[in-house]
Amino acid sequence: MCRRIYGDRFTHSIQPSEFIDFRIGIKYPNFTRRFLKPQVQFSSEGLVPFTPLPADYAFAMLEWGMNWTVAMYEFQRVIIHSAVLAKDDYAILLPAPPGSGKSTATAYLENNGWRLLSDEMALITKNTTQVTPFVRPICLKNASIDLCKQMFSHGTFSETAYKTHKGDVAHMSPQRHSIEEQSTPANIVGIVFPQYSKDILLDIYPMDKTSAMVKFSENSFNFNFLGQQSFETNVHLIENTRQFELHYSDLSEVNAFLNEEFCK
Amino acid sequence: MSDAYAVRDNILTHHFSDGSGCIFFDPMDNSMVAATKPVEELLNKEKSESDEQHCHIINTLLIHKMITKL
Repeated sequence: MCRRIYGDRFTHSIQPSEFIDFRIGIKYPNFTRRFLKPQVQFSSEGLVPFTPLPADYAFAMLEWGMNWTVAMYEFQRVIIHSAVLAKDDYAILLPAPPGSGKSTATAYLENNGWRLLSDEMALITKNTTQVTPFVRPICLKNASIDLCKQMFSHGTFSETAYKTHKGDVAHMSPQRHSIEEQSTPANIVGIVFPQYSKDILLDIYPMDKTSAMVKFSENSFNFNFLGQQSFETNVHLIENTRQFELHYSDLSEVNAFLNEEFCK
Repeated sequence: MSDAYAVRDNILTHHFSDGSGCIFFDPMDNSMVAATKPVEELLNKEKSESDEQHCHIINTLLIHKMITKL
């Protein structure tokens, strides 16, 4: 599964001289659980942070575990729960709670001219507007799985993990152009809070900076740990970007708005 | 800030450039409170016991330890 989703980026062997950021793994918790109602558990730097899950969830658990590991150990950057997409050097953050259509919008935009920097977390250099790519598969849930399979028949999808605590979950590989630029940071110019609503026309609400600061900071993973550094970085971002709330049902309208507003 | 209330010394305050309000940050517990422009205006008034909205807002801020009554 890893080879299918990660393609060339997946490797079976690491040379001793190569630097490794984190040592993580997925394995059976014990001999019995390899055969009897098989389960797997995730480990990160020797810690087992989650209870074991059915073996069918192995790939999803690996992805969640990688997110957890970065959220727990990355202290050099401010981390925001947000999708990140860019054109040229212009990056847009899409912070949003589950159910807002963030991942579907991310998949659509990546397949319509934007490059994916992350579907899950924005890694922002302190006191700057620079965001570092964290190019990983897009996590699709429930109805968006079939929707994306219809829209992107050329895409590469993982097996679906059914009835997880997040619902049905499948991952979609990032596109080649995003992977090729996975080492190229971008400059955040906009923060857009998306909300999908069925059968509505695109509603665009420019936000005042005070409200945007509060809403944006609610999506911070490590605000409590970084404290003042995170506060100052968030203020810097809010002051140097434009913020909108977006209610949408048609993703092509979202794409047109983002192009018009941020890529001129 | 008014004669009646002041931001505690170690609280960080930022007034946003669009004039929409300000944000208070307490480094002691990493808590944050926003005051939108109407609230800022209220803070800059003398406290009036009859102004229930004013009292409610000030109380909210006090709960968050951002404001000290002088």
